[in-house]
Amino acid sequence: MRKEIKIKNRVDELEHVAAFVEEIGEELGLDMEMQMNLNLVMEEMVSNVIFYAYPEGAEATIELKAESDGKELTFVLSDRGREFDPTLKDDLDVNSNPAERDLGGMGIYIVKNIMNQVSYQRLEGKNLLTMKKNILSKSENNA
Amino acid sequence: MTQILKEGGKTIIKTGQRIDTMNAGQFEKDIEPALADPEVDLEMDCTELTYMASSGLRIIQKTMRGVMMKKGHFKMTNVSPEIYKVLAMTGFTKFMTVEQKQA
Repeated sequence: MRKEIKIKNRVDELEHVAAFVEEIGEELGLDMEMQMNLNLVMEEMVSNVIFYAYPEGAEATIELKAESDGKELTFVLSDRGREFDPTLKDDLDVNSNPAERDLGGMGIYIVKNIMNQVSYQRLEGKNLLTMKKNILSKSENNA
Repeated sequence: MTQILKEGGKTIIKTGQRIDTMNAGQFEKDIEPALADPEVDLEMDCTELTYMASSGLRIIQKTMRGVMMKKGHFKMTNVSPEIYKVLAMTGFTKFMTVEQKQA
């Protein structure tokens, strides 16, 4: 399976990302929880790019590619915005009370927890974020 | 759609199906009146909720903070198992009451 989607850097475009993930989930026979988690991961990372990669008012295109061999599902998110490696963000201290922590900062933490591997590369003026998820056990359960 | 119900001294916020990046701002505005009372006893009823992004968690975080400052009460009820896992992953379930939906 190989699919890709191109969206504009606008919040309302997240709807297309959700539909894209849903389509992949159906094609691969992923269960509800896996679908929700993948949807969450893509929303967090794509919205990060929408909000922070480009100067305000600048229109840009964001690409999301998905590929799977049936065992592993790999997403690659790319944009031509400013260089930013979300994997460098400090881990959340989940043993401290959320009411006393800084607001936010939970998106990337969720992504790292849900995915099996998250890596960043700056290549030819692009931010490339690769996110891998093992889907084998889930599809076996469904079989 | 968010609904706010008052029952005695208690306020119940019934969430809609999704709290995501697109509608989190509206949700925050919707629940603002519920936080304005001098004494807050708040229940967020998540029966309808099937999806919550980190923008929603951020509002929960802010709500916890506001309620704590007023020495009030705040709990989440009827949370789906999938959303409960995300709340546990991000450290919420250790510091507030989160009741899961009965199967």
